[in-house]
Amino acid sequence: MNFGLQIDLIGWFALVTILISLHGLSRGSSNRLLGPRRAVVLLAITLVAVLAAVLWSAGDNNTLLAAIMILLGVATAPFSARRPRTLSLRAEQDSILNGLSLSTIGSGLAVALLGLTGWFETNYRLDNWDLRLIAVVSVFIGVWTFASGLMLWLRLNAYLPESTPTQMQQRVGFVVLAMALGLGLLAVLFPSFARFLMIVMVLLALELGALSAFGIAITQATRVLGRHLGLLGAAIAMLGYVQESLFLLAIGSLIMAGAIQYLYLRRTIKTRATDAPRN
Amino acid sequence: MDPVIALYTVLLATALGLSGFARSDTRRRGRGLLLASVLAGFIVVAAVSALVIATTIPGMIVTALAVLFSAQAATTALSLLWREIHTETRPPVPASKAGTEDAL
Repeated sequence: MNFGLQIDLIGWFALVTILISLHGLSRGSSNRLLGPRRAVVLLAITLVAVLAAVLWSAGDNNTLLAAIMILLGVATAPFSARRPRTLSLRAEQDSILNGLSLSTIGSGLAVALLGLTGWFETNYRLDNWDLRLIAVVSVFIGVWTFASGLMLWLRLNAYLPESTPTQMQQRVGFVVLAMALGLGLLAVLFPSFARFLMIVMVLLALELGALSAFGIAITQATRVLGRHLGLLGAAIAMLGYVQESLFLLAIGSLIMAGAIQYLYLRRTIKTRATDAPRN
Repeated sequence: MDPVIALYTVLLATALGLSGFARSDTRRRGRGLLLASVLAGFIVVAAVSALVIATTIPGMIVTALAVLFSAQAATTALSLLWREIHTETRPPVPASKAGTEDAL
């Protein structure tokens, strides 16, 4: 049964409403027809509609389990999006950053678990190399994102000591990244030894997450989150390829575009504006 | 799926996203990050569709956990975006109620 097509059945309409919502949210309150609050409500309705379509088309296959897990996830969300004790703007911003790091932890875990499922549910010794590659990359991105989000959350709440980023930390980070990618590539090429290689790669990804969260000043926490959201977008696009869903491919690409815009392009525009000659 | 179709879709959606985000209000940098986080919450769709086609017991357990965490992430991201919009439209808080941090 091809679930990708079933996601896409309603996915095309969902994609249109998502783009309309993004338009309303990025324009702010200047848009009278679709203000930011209505746009958020539209996004939530779209998510519920797509989920309902997937559950409805699944018939009796684990539908009840899926519904229970969704409800449990929704019920735990208020703990990760807690309001600050004071009404100040600074406390509100810190609280949103805290919640964002917890949301990144959840998404990272989900991506890692889906990559793991993709590896073991398919016959990884016989299936195509592209499916193996996507499974390994998903596990790597998920574990790295989970570790970075966790370390950032611990640092934001002062559970970890302050650290000053050094050049040595960055070099070690690059070496660990190169080792993890090399091991992942070996796991794809030689699936017979993949179990051991993937365990070492996961340990290196945990190490990399700790390094990437420690190797920055805490004021740059949003940049780390932006980078990992972009990676999550890439993972979602790859999952869309595996599940043959153009909807997930498009959503993943939109996330990557948002992350690229946040990390690189906005700064370029700002720099251009300040560099412009004054008449 | 044909890799060429997948590549075209990715390129088109990325270009569309870049042009859309480039026209957004430059004063709200944080909202772009929250929007990306809300869109990342759509991974719950991939998790649910993986759960409903899972055939083995370990596969069901792992994908069920993926659904749990992704639903938590999606709801958190939507809730944070809602709060950010409320913060923007909220009238300024008097210094006496704003807590010691702002009062100082």
